Amino acid sequence: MKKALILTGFNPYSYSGGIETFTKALISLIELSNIKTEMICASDFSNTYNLYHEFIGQVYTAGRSLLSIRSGTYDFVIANGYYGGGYLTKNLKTFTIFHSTHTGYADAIKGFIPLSTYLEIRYIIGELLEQSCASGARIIAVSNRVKSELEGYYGLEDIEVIPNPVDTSFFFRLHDKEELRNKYGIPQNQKVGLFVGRWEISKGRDIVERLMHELNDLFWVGVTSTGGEASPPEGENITTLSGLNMAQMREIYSLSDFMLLPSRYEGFGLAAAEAMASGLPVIGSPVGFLEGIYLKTPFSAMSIPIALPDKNEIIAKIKDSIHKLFSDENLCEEISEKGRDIIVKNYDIAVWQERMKNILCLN
Amino acid sequence: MSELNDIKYEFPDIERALILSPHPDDETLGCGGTIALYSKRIDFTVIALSDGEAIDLPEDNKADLRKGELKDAMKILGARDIIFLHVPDGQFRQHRDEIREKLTGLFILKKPQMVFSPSLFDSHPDHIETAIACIELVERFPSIKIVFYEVYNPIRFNTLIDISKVVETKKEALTKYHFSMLKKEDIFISSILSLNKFRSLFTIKDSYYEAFWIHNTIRGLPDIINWFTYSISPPSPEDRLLSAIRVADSLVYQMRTAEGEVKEKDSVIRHLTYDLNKKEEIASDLQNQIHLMEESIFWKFARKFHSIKDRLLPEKSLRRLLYERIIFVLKNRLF
Repeated sequence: MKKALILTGFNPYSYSGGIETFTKALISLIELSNIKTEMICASDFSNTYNLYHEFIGQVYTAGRSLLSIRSGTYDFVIANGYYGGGYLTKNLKTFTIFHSTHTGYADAIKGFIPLSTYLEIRYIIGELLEQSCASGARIIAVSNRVKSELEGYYGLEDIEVIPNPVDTSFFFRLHDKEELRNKYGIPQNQKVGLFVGRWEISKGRDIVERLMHELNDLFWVGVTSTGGEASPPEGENITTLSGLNMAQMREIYSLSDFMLLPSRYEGFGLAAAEAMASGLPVIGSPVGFLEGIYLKTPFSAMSIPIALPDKNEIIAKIKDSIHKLFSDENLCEEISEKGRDIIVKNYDIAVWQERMKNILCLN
Repeated sequence: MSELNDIKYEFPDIERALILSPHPDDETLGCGGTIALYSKRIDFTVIALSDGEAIDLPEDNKADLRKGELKDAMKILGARDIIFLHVPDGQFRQHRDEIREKLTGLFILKKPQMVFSPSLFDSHPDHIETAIACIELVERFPSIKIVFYEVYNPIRFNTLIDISKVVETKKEALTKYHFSMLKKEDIFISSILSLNKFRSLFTIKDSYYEAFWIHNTIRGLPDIINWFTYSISPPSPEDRLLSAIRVADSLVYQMRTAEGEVKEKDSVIRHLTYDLNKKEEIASDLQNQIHLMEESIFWKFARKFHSIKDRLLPEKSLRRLLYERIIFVLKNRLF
């Protein structure tokens, strides 16, 4: 029986996040082709080489452990971005999937983090680990944006773009909104804004936090994933949820009126794609796959600038977009319908499965 | 010192050799003694790749001067055949193809058994280029052996030629290079003879030696580098990555520690600034109170009274005595 190895950061069955969702879909796809998958998670390794940064040490140790694997043990290896760091001499057929570039990520949040953190993300994770992951591997980027970053920052070539998948047969708008709101204790008479992601500066948590206070006539739902840098604020008009499964996420998308995604950086932006598949308008910055979406009508009305340190302009733009959305029912409905169409056509899991099968030669 | 056993002290029995000299004087510095010793037996052709015109001297005809010096030196050492290739001095890298083409022609024409070249590890870029060109050409002429000689850097060697008998001849030849040695030939001569003397460390015999590496079985640049560096294996790509990560990780750690210290100091400064502002507020309040007091009628009256007190109550007058008595009583009662 054929065997594949997946090299990732965290166990996708214990942690929640975009890469973890992707990894689960990947495992299902490979196993459908009757190939056994094994997984190496950096978080399970110790920092054998005693680096000051514990997790970077774990990532390097995990990647380097592949050197002791005999050629032929696995038919292929798939590494999720820099989690393959330390696996430099690729003695196995390897695919490296870049969900983002840390160089791009670091540059996007440069003004918001200490210089040491910026340098660590940009040079150690980006320039050193990510570049080493790309060396000798077939490179896949999850969006055109990530592809252009890989080309621009690292000079990489021959990059295949395969956008992340959304199961559009699962993510669609549920119509029992009233019941769903009752289930989660969310008022019926208020418009609901949704934030999904790690509660951190790169996701624009400072923007969301301010809006939660300033627009207190709205009700805010924050769905946070593992590994945020702070806790969302508390308030009468705010509810925070975490550790939700896909079925619950579908319910949350369906009970909300819009999603707010003021991210400073996204490689793809899976939550936004799931929300759009669920018919939810997304007010967001042109990051990840949204970069192309927001160039088109009617979505351009929902586009906000990528958050700069001066937040006033962005806040005003978000308020304007919310106003447009709620004052024009037709616009809201058009965005909802066309949004789902785009996801079904371009990002459905069936499209992704076909493209992944081709590149991994699973057919 | 086991490799001492493998060192040869005689030059191989050959008839023809080319000596590649990147600039006039390199050949005499590196192998002048050997030329003098063997010129009767071996037909040496000295090939000056450049005319040495880039030397830092004010003279106009630097190339001619240096070429003349080479000819004079070779007369002393006994090498009669001299060829100038006129490659621009200091630009060998940009003229790689030209060098290879010219040398190929000479290899075919002269049919040398050996080619002398400065070593790969000589610090002058033209010397390194000469060595690389030589290695590449010898791959195409495998019967020719390379002989690396020393100029600016000592090398790992496998042949030591005792030049004690001809050291004065080498010295005399070197003295011909007045311009080539920047008019400081004494320094050049004493330095190169010190290098020749230094090799006595290996022989434990008070003598002068020119050291060479003559390649026998090793072929190609990687093997040659490997030999010169005592086969020290380069680190694996993973180790090189780890080393880079370690350096960056340590620097980030130090920076993060420094940022923490700055943050702590900032916090102290904030507290001190807060205290200072509070104290300034108190001082300002007191100042205001003083100002109000100074503006009061009583204060104005008191000041006026004091300014005219001596006129109203002259010293030692009855009024003054009475006044002082009243003040005394009031003070005692009040305080």
